[in-house]
Amino acid sequence: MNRNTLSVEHEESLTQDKPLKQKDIATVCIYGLSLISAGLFLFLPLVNLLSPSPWQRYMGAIHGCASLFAVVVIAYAGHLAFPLLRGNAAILPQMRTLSFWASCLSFMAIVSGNWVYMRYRAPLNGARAWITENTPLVHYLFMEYHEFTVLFTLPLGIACTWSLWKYGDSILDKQNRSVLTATCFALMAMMFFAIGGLVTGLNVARIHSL
Amino acid sequence: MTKSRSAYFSPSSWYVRLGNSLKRFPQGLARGSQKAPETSSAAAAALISAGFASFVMMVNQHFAATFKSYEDLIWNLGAWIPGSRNADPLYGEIGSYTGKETILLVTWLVSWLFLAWLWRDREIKGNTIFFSLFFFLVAATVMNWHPLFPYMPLMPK
Repeated sequence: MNRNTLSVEHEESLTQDKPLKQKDIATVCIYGLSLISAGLFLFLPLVNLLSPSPWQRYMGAIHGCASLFAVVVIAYAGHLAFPLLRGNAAILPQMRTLSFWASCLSFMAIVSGNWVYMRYRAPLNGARAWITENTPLVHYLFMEYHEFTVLFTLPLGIACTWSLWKYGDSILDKQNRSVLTATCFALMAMMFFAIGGLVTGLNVARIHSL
Repeated sequence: MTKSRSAYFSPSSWYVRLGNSLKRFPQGLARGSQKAPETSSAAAAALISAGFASFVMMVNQHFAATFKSYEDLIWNLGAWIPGSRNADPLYGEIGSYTGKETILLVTWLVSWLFLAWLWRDREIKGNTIFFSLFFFLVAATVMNWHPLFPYMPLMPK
């Protein structure tokens, strides 16, 4: 924390004898806002519970929660690829477990997606029939992109987990530079496909619920 | 000079310790392998096979979209996935998508094993790993864009 801007260190400061200082209030505000922001974002799939469609209320909510959790963890892992690429050894243990849990959540999102896809294709009032009839590009561009690119996240995540575990701390050694670079690239690609899946999935659901 | 009460947020707080322990769970994985490979072949096989499988699945998707008989064939391959076929018109079925997932799974695991065997103890150049992965992922992504491929549908048949 930057002492020059956030802490009040003057002797004559009004906060001198108070239990809380400006720095602490600022810290509480920053922690609080970040937690509230994260909570609001995670609230996103719960709006499915208010859908008039009974399918969307439970299938959509479950797949929405599974995929949003997957995207959050995958995006976190993707962002840590930057310090990892710079050779930050302190985050290596976390990167190994994070890429593993990101892969597990990716699998759960794919499994729930398969389940939801059944209803999407259902002959009786299924979303696919309506979308291809009324706005076909949503299916042929967005939905097909969604269907396939989200699958890429699973092999990429497991390959990253394997490389990060197998090479141990030596992945940061000079002779393993190529392994580190390719692993970080795969982590970023995993994030790209996961976020693309979230955006396309949300847009398809916005056009027609299950 | 008074001391800041930011000690409330010191690293010894229970939630910081909980967070740190969660970050390192499971510990066996967090520690990493004790015997690291001396060449890049292990990582190359894992990463390139992931990209290769994605690319093969998209090639397969183009074949399935073009040839109905091929789509039926791969649908049979994916019949092991629950929901692949379902007569209930209300719940629907996954359809040939299960076959495409199966192609991805089989190609990924078989190519991983094959490349690991082929490249065992060989040093694979960084350019080979990076550009193979890059090519397969870009090609697989671009193949989702139907306007680039005149034979891919943009309107219902």
